[in-house]
Amino acid sequence: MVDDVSNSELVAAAAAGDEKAWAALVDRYTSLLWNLTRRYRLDQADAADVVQTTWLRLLENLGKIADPERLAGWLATTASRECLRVAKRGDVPRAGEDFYSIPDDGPAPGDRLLDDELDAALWRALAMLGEPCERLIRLLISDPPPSYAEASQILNMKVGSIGPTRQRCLSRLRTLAGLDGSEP
Amino acid sequence: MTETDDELIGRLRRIAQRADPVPESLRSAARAAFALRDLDARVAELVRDSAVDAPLTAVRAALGDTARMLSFEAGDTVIECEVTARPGERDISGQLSGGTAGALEAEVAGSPPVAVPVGAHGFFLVRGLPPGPFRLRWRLAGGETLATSWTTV
Repeated sequence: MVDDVSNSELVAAAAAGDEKAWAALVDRYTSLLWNLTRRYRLDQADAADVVQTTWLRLLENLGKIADPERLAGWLATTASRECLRVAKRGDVPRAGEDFYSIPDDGPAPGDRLLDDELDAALWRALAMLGEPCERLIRLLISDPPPSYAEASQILNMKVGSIGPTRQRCLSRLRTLAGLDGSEP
Repeated sequence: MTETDDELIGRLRRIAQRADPVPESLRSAARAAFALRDLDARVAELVRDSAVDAPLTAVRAALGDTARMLSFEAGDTVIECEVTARPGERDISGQLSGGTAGALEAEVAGSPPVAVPVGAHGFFLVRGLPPGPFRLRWRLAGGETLATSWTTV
């Protein structure tokens, strides 16, 4: 099973030219990178470009990754920096996009696709959570999710804090979504 | 019946997969990117980006100047780029310095590379590239190839 292979083995194999090892890395972390990138409220095409650029950066650094077991942190840092560059480059929108429709703190992408009212409320609440909660929850709902060790690298948080923070963030999410009967 | 935390995480994962799934084209492009591995090229690192580094960014934005300056370096070799954004298109002009003349190509991941003419003093211009991850590959007269680090333009 590819799932059991360590990052060190996959990075070494990919650096030696093994395309399957590369695909396994892509499958392991693309959902995580996508979810992290979506926090920056870039449009979908820009977010996809950022994730693709992140993979290309890994490709050019395959032989130089000092600690492959910290790869999730390396990828997340690379993607976050690239998100900031894209968000701040101050350019014109892509063809067909209305500059003034770029959402600020408005509904999260995809909101209208959810017909279940409660699901829609949860999805909106996620975008209102604030940090570190939004990043932590977006990480944990990735498929596959990162280990707590990886989440701690990405969030720069102690591994022992992840569990309690998760509990606190989900409690806040329930309140924001109106799930616990109290006012947000 | 209230959900446990684990159940709520599972529910949010299913919501995300419906409301904001990873585009399938992104997964396939990321897998296919392996073909762009460039074992021969030396990487010119991005050392300056006016989008995040220049103190004058706000002033330039206020003046309506949308050009973005990127500087790449590999040793004594420097590649300066100015990226001008138009809807759906990018024009990139710049200057190569510190290396002997040779062939230059511009590449946006997912599209074929474009040969770029290099003029006197290393000046170059390429118009109408699609937005996306971008790099320049510069084959020096001595046989060495330089590639700028991938950057989203």
